[in-house]
Amino acid sequence: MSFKNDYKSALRSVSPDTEKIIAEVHERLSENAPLKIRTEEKKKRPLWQIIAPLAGAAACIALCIIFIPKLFDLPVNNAGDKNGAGNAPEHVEANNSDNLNGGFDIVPENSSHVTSESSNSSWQPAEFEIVRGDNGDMLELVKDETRYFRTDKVRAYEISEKYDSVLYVDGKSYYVILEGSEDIIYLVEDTSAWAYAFEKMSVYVNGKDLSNIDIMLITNDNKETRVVLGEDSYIKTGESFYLKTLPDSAARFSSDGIKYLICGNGHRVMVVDTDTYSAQYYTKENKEVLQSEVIINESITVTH
Amino acid sequence: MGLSLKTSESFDEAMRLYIPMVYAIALERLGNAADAEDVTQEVFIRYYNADKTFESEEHRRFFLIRVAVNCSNSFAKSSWHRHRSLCDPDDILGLLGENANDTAEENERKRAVIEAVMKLPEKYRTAVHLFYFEDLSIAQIAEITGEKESTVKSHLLRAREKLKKLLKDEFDLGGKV
Repeated sequence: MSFKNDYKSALRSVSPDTEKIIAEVHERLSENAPLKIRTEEKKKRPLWQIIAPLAGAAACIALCIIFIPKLFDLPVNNAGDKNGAGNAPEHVEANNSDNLNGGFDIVPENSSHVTSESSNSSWQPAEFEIVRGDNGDMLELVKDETRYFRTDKVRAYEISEKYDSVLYVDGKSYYVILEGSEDIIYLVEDTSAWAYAFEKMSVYVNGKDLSNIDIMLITNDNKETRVVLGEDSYIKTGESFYLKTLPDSAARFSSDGIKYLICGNGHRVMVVDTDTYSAQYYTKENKEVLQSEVIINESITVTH
Repeated sequence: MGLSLKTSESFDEAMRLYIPMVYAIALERLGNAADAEDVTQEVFIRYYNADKTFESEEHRRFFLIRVAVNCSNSFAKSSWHRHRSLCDPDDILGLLGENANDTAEENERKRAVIEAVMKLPEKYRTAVHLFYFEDLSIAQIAEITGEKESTVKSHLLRAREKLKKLLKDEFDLGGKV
């Protein structure tokens, strides 16, 4: 008797209601609706199985509140004082205005604060923030005051399977994988076969400090925009997002009276319009700079 | 030219072709028909939204298996699933259809096999399913589950040992893993 044959035969006899599933998929796609949990079709746990763990947890919390302060000889929070405020610690607000490392105290409109749990002691919980673009795509990852921006999409199985921490964003979990020097971070959505690669953002591009480099913004009938940084040319990717505040120590240049700020790494740069608070990404072209010069020579609008 | 969801064929045809495969993976992992249907839906929503172009039919199958395994794992870890009664072998056994051409003994064997597989720890079940039902190699299973090949191999070996005990050595579990 072959296990394999019987197993296959048995599972093939379990046929799902294909048409019903297809109809539900179409319904969800047309309404962009969330998954319908068919509660009534599923077996529910007996009530006591739900209440018992909750009661147990509540009891544990109560015991902790009572005994932990005594154990460490800490003052118990006096909730009954005159102000009713007790001994709660004062709320401390982080001030990033003194950020000198590229001035990346950007707070985009569409940012998602996340919680995280760490499997690596050097990475503390809740230090990541995912910044999203207008279309909901993840564009940046912020750890402490260091910003990483998305550069690539790779197959998840091409990178290390060991994750360093888990981020929870909008009910989804993402596995954070750090590679070597922490210059690259991979984010793997738990249900995806793909990982997002994020590279550390810097005011240095290809080793050159952008605060001193000559930058040209080239537009082609307002359809195509290029940024030329020294010998490298970058082309707009179409990704853009809005900022609430602006970085203040990256390079600046003026075009038609508009001030721009620029920062990035060797592969992508971000250009920020300081008047409209909008930012756009540019990726490095695989062309020689000569071709950019050709564009300039063809008298396509060159603004600088 | 590669296979693209929205160009070379209708989405419905693709779903009809792969729903049984995706459903079986989810059912084996979650042990519950309603959950398996939910996961199957989710897999095809992701498939549609991904709008990928596939180099071959095998590439597409591999992609869907991977998404199905990940979605099932994700569902199994969700608080909704954890707060409900988990895998119930009787649920699947109740779904087993009896082939009119099969003898009573054959139907009994199928039940015994499914019952034994559902008694395996969850971490072994996916590997067993992909190996025996989808005929994937250990390397491919490792790629899909994100585990090392040696881990998959040991899961399969341990699963076979348990299955042998559960099935009282009555079944041939195939050659070496």
